Amino acid sequence: MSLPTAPASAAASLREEFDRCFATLPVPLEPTEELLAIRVGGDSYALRLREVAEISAGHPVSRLPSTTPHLLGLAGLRTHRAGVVVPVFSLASLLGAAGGADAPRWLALCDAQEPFALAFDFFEGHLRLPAAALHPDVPGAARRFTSGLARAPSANGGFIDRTLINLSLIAAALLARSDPARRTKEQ
Amino acid sequence: MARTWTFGEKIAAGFSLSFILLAAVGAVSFRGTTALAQTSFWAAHTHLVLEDIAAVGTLLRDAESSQRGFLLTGDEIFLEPYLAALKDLPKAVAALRLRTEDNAAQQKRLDQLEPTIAAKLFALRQTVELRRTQKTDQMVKVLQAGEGRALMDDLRRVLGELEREERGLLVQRAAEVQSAVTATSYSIGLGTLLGLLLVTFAGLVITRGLTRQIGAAALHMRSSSTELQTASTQQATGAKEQSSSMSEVSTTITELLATSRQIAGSAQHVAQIAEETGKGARAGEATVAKASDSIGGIKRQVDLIVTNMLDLGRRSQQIGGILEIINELSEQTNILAINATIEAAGAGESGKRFAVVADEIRKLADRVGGSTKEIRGLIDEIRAAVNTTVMTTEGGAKAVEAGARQFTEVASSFRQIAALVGTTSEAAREIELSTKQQSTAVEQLNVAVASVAQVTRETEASASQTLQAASQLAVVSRDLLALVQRQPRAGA
Repeated sequence: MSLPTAPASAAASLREEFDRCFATLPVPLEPTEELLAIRVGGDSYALRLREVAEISAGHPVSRLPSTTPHLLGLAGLRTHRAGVVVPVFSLASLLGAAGGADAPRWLALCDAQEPFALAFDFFEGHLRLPAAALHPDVPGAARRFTSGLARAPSANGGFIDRTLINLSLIAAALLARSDPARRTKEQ
Repeated sequence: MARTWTFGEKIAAGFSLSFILLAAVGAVSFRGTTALAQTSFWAAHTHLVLEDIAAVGTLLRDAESSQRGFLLTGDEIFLEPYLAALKDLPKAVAALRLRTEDNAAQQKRLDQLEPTIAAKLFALRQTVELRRTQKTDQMVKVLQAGEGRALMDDLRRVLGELEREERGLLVQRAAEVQSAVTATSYSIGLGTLLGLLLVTFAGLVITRGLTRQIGAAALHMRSSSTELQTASTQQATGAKEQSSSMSEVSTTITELLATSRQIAGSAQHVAQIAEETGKGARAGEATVAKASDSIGGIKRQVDLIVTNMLDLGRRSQQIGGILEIINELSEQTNILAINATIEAAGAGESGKRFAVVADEIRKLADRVGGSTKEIRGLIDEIRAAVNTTVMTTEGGAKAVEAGARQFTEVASSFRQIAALVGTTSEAAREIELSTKQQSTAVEQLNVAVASVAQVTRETEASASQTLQAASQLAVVSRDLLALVQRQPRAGA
């Protein structure tokens, strides 16, 4: 039994690759879209990196007794800034996906008008895809909070289509739902 | 139950009865004869007495006549009878007295007779003397006196009385003789008749009994002799068969002797092999002891391996814990890198180089995460392999323990084998010894069987002789039957 690559040589290749990327000139950037590949309830999804303010794993979520739908509780995030307490919503519940974990481990902070966090099951990685890999919504797709598909290379050499989650829509929906309450509160 | 008389008893009884009768007849006859002899004796005695009386009378008459002759003639020659009478008369009277001493009456008469004879003789002498002296006158006077005649008359009278008495006795004794003769005759005749009858009866009874019993016995003897013939024939046949069997037995014994010698040889061989086996078992025991020591060493090594493997398992678990930390670190690095990318994107153009760094850090974190996954898989495999190895090694340790126990048992078995082989060797030696003794015994048996065979041949010969004797006995019984029954029988 042996490793695919010996640990010492693997470490050396990692170091070499890391050093090389700083040594070479950056290639001319073509228009790309940076995505975060996630898994919700067994389905593959993608979040636009520019719509996410921060991700974290294993952050404690304080549960609250509430009638608000999809709300899991409150969490303190943005550790690199001044800490804020944000509501945490279940992405699986919002997407209507079945089989989501009861207590999702990962959180994605959306720095919208009213910051909020979305909890999901599994973070699969960071993707940088050419713009051509993104496809708008096919006609007739009636999913909520999504906006098209991203065709990303999979681990086995093929491609996998990930549904793009539109965080703006979610933020708008959540804001729309919380506005009457806020108004009532301000009054 | 009536007693059955034997021949001897019957014959003895018949002879005894006859003997008793003969003895009785003899006794009666003897008594009669004795009485007859006595009576005859007395009759003869009487005759002698009569003769004596007659002699006395004769002598007296001779003396008187002689005296007369002398007196007449004076011649001395006439006196010879007188002188003889003078000499013989006392003897004759004494003889008469002696002969009649049993009869008192006759003695009394003799008492009368003797003085009278003396007086007569005196008278005679007186006259004779007177004649001699020539005194004839005196002599005539004396004679005329008649004294001599009177004396003579007295003498005649007394002698006559004596004779009459004796005659009477003679008659009486003759009658007694007659009576005795008659009685003796009767007793002899009757006894003889009775004896004849008894002997005839006894003879009849004995003959009939003998005929019946001897006939039955002869018949029985004939059947017995027939059976004896059959038996002796069978015996002869059996002796022949026995003789042939003895030959077979002798052959078998010879084979047995050869076999027992072979067994003795085999037992010796077995004893040698047992001795070699014992040596082998002792060597095996030593080898097993060495192997047991080796097994003990292996067990210690296996225990060490198990300890090391368990240690390896703990170490791999610790590596897993460290890997968990590394994984956590890579994940956190990844998150930080992503967040840094986000921040770099938020920083605009100035953040682009930072974004490159963050991206590289993220890639590195991804690679580290992938490597930790691989290492985790490897460590899991190592742990599984360690667990398997530990279990296998523990199984091996148990197997080694079992092997050690089995080696102990094997050593014990070898010791038992050695002991048993010793016993076997001893037993084989005993078998050898016993078989040699058996061989000797079988040889003796062979000799004995030869003797028996000889005896059997003799038995066969004697059975033939017995058969011959039985045939002769059958002939004898037939003859005896013929003698006894006097009638020839068909097939007898």
